[in-house]
Amino acid sequence: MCRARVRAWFFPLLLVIGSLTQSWRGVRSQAVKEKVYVTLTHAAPCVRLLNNTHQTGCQSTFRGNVGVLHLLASPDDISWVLESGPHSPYVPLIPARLFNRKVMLPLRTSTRIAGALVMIDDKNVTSLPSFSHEKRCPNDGYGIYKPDGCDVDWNEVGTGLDFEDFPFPIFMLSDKNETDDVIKCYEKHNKLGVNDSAPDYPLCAVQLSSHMHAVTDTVTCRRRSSLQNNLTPQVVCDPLGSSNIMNLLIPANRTKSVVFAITRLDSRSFFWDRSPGAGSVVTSFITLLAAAEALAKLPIADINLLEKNIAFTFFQGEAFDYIGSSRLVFDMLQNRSFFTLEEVDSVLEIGQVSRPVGDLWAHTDPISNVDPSVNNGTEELVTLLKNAGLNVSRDEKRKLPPASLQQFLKYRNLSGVLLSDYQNAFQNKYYQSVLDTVSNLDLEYPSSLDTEKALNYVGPLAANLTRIATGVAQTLYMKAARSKSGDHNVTASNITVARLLYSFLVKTNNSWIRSLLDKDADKSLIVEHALSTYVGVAFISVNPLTRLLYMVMSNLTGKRVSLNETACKDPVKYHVPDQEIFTERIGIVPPSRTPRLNLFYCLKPSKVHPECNHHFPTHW
Amino acid sequence: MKTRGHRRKEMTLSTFFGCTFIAFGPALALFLFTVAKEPLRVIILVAGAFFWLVSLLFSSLVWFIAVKASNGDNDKLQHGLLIFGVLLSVIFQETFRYGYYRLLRKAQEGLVSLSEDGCSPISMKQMAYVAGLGFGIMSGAFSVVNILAESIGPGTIGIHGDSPYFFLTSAFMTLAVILLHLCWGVIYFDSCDKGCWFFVLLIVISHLLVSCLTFANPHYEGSLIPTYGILFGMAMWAFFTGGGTTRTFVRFLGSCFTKAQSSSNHTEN
Repeated sequence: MCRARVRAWFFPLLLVIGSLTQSWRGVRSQAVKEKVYVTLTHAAPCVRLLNNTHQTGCQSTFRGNVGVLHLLASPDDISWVLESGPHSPYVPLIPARLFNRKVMLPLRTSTRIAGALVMIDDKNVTSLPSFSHEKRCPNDGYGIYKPDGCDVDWNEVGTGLDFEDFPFPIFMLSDKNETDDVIKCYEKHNKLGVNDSAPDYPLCAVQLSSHMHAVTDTVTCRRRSSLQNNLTPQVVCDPLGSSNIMNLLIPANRTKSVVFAITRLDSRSFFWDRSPGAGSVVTSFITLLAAAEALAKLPIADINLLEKNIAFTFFQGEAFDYIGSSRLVFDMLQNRSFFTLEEVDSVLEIGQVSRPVGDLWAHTDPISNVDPSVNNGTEELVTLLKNAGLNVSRDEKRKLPPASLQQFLKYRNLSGVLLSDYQNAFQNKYYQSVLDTVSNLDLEYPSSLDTEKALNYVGPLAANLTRIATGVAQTLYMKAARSKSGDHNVTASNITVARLLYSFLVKTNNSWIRSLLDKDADKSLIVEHALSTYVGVAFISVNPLTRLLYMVMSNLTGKRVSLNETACKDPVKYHVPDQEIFTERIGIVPPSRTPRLNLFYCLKPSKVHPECNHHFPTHW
Repeated sequence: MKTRGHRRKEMTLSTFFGCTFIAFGPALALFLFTVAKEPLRVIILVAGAFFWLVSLLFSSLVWFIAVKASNGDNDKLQHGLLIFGVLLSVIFQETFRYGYYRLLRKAQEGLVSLSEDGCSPISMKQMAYVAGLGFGIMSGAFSVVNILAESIGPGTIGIHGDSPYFFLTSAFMTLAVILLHLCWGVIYFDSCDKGCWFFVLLIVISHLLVSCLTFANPHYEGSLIPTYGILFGMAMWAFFTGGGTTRTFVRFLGSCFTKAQSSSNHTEN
């Protein structure tokens, strides 16, 4: 039966209005997922790497490993995680100073561990005295000496964790905000109570997903990925590799022998693609770039006095058992390169030179130098280095440290010298780690400088590297010259070194790099941070650092020619003599500082060649 | 990589199953005992569910267009649009319930003409009950299934300080809404039959009220308790609308004690 209307209206209407007004609290409708999870976007995983015989790195389950967080403030806290804690499985939160063998290896064998989170602040100067996870003898067994053939522990602070196999995922937290959030979550929910009593549910936990498909070793993975063994092959592993860059001072066919000036381009760390390599690699290749520029800028008359060629070669993949250098030597043995091994007169390698001004050492191989003709060449190199103003010492009995030079010596005894800033053990205590950054180098830009001024700031490190580059250039020139007398003014430019340091250590987004890249260049090379020196996977696209180096090298050693735009693009059609590779550039033409669009200059690079390299059996 | 409030895997599974059965248990029981054996009732249930689904489609279309056309950053506006969407959805659902009523009336005539003895195999009241159950099941499914999917884990709510009872209260709310749809179906069809439009309006208003009460969340006492109160009231109303009397109710209680008959016999008129 129908009832009276009026009274019934008010009450529900009031409630509706009431709830409407109450809800103006700015509460947005959220997905349920956002109420349950917080995603950490700045975490770097540790990935699985295979070589011929082993698997290294970390692995998670397909959906990700879930574990309760526990902060390891001291090494004793590990017993909670391994034995006493009732909420296993755990994911320990490990500060950087506890990331070592003593803490990590017991975790590896325990069934109560689901993963690990390592908190490493790579933006600021570290208080850690050392942090390196490479082996104590890097690239052991792939050089000229037998395994365990290192005279000294070159990387004496190395833990070797890079080569351990972990059955759980390990991630690095580098962003300060995210790290703080994680620690706050831990302190709120997971902290131990009075008398070390276990906390109650609900607890703060993490889910770490880094599922890796490849297992066992390269041989197994390639077999499983091949069509011969599997009707539906699925490639689950990729080879590491990239391109080497070689720059010849004189066109290849004009000389009979060559002096190689080599260095490496890549580094690595425990975590994927976080490879700053500032002290181990970047300063070295910057030095060689400056030396190459110094020689390329010599007048033609001086270059014509050279009897031998000079090949500046930058190897990629050296961190993984000499991928680049072994490939070049392999090509030379197969007659696929510009030179054969017999034509190589000597090799000068630039090793780590990032430490402050001090003595330098020339390392040589005692075994090959038993031969007097080889030793003469080596002694000549050392003498030339001394004459060029670099205070080098040579210990004839000590074996070579890990060096690309070893790959040359594997197949032929030739004169070779590795120039470095260490005598017995690496001075760089962060060799091949995430902390090998510009903050832990002796390079401090005064905070008052903006990008432009910082780009051209010549500090003590730049001055030192310029000095070394000048010495190397003069040495190379004299070694390759017909007559050993005469004064030839070969100097490296400290402005170039300063710019290279800024671009490769701080950020590539600056006016100089932008002026080098042509208008079709990949915009991904212009970033607000330094490019990673991790070699990466072959076949996809050439590693960004290699591409950028190629362009930098072209610019530093090339000569500007006066051709218009169309001729520059198509030299064959316009019958340009001496057909070389031309590249078009759009950028700043000095002395004008403002970049003008549609202004270009055609650059004739002095034979800069990228060569693909991936050597089997390789790192995958 | 995610951090979240953690319970062991078994705990989240038990949350999932518990909430599922809280939300759908009674509806499933009603389906199994009263609907499943009769094909005609099953058809009416599924068609009812479909009608509810279409009403949701239209209301979500309107809301979606409104949201896309509006400024996404304005929180107040978005919240206002949400409220508007909820109210509009309620209006649409009740409209489609009326549409389903008209359809079933027509079907009733067809069934009568097809039958051998001039009597429809199913009465209007039964159709009302089944239609309401259909609406309810579909409405419950859409309310709670995505929440149930999150409840499997591996995390639970709480990392941002939200109430950990979210899954449980959502399940209880869904249960209430399913049973409310059932009651509303019975009363609605009966009121339409009798032409008592005031009651129809009351149902619409109570539906609006229940929907708006959910805006009181996370103060769950503000939403759940009144909702269950309304459910109790509606259940009583539906019982009496369906033909039940105090005497039949007492008899039912007696039969429960003696276990002579199952309660399903008493819903038939």
